[in-house]
Amino acid sequence: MFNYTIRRILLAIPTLLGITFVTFMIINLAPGDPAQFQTQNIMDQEMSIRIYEELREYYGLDKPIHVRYVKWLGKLIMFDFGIALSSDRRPVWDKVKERIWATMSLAILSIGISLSLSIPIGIYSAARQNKLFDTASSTILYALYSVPSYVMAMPLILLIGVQWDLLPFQGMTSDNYAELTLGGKAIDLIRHYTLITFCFSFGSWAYYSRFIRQNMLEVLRQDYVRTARAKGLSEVRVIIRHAFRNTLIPVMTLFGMLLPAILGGSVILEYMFNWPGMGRLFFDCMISRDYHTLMALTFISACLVLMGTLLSDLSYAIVDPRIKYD
Amino acid sequence: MVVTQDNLKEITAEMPGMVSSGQRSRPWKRFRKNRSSMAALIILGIIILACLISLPISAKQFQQQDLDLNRHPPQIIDNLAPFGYDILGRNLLWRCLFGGIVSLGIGLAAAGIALMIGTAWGLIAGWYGGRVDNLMMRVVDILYGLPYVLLIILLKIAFEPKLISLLNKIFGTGQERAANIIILFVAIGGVSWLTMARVIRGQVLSLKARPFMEAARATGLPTRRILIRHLLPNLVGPVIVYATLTVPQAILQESFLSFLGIGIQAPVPTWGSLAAEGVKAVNTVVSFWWMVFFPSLLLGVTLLCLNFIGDGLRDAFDPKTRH
Repeated sequence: MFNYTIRRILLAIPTLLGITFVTFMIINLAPGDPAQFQTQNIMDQEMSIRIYEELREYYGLDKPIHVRYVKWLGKLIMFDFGIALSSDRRPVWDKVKERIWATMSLAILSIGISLSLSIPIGIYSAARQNKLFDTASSTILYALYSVPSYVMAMPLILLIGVQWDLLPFQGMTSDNYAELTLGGKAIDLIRHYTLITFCFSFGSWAYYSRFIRQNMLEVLRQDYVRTARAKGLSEVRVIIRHAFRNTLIPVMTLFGMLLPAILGGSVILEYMFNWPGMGRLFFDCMISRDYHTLMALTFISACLVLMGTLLSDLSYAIVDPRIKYD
Repeated sequence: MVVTQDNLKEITAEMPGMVSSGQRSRPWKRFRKNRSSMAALIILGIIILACLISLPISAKQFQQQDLDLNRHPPQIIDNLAPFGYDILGRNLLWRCLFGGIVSLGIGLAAAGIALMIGTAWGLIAGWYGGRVDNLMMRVVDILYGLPYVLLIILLKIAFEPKLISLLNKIFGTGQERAANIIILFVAIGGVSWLTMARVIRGQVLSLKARPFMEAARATGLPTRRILIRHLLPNLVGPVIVYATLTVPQAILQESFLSFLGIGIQAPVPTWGSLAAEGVKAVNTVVSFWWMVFFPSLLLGVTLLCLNFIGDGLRDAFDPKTRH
């Protein structure tokens, strides 16, 4: 098990190198560069060309692409993501750091809400397979799943946010946040999180609950469930204690798959709700060709993807003693 | 034998004859009993038929503008416009019907790519194992780790101009629209086969360890025969299920890209871009609800049907969930 983990981590290194290399090549070979983006609004042509050349030299864009990649890698080993190639020229890590809280809190909150809703629904649907509750819940949840998040967000913003003025929908806090008491701050945060958290999570309810249901159905056919019933245990006890506990293995793998989502964010919702998240940062950097920030974000998400797959593979072995890795 | 894309088609073409008729109809019988899936199949059929039958008209009418009618609510009596008009005074009925063709086309293209590349990739990796498997699955890992919106945008920036000039050379000028659609098909399809490859590889690995495969090998059957007669028929279930589930995912992905302005370019509509246009047109003072409602309704109902069908197929093919 220990050896297996070490081997997997070692195997992840070439994969990470591959991901960063491919991304580096694609974004650098695509037309346009940060120097061009920052000089495109300068009217005076001579001036524009001069600044463009200077910026290219300043950013090191005049060097060949493989030299730049090796240099970027060298810095990465020292955990240095470099300086953002945007007009503010702040360290990339600072720019990413200030977005992490908003993105992570939102993602963890939505995942928590999704799971606490989907697990009971999934269990109950499996226990009463193809009965009214199963059909109704899957219809409603699939219907929600079929609505793009921006279509859902728009009426919510217009009705709840504007027309009825019930909840705020811009940013994380109100303007007077600093003056509020502790309780007031908490209420203000909750009010700001409500709409975006709903829009962020409703699409995944169907997926999770069907996932739980599928696995429950598999477990419910096992002999030990029949034995439990034959012993005369109550149905609730059979379902919860004997069946559900055995579906925890696939649920563990679900957590592994969710790991990258924690820092992924959502461009569209972050724009609509003016949320200072990672999705927006990524999209803006893509437009302005901020290579360093893009590479940092890609690196972080690639690490999370690889860690997620490793964790879900390992969790199999931890939860189920029948599975062995060597 | 090496399974390539070319002879995989050949192999799958031979398949129906290989599986006995009894085996083949069992999942279908089970699927037919699933009432919600059958209802979904019928509704989806109606939507597809409507889009296809109206294609000769909608292909001409979808960019027909009448500026006097801009933002006009739904009407039937004066003009046939039950879905109303958009900002530029274009009849949303024809735009929705034509957009359906494009949206469904994207979904089918993605499913087709997933079906061909994903199945072949997973089959080879799982069958040969060892180093081949390691290398092939690392490629999948790398593609999985790449930020997908970035991939699509950059594919577009990098290859669209080249494709336009190539198409212009072959078919004459004015091929921008075709190039845009092809790039999007390839970009969405290019990321959709990864899940399929992983699923098929897992299936092949577990099938390879089953006694019947060992028996087939022990009787000295050639690899080609083992693959065609014994392995592929057992993969039909997951392949069909995941191909079906790829369609709604691709359609939804295109709608997100449309909202970001990097989907299929105007004036060619898709359900996603129509809904996105509608969302941007709606404001607090006047609600042009029909601009959002009808495209979203069609998009939503189609995705709902496809998911129900996929779900029904999974139940039908998976002997473990039989009740």
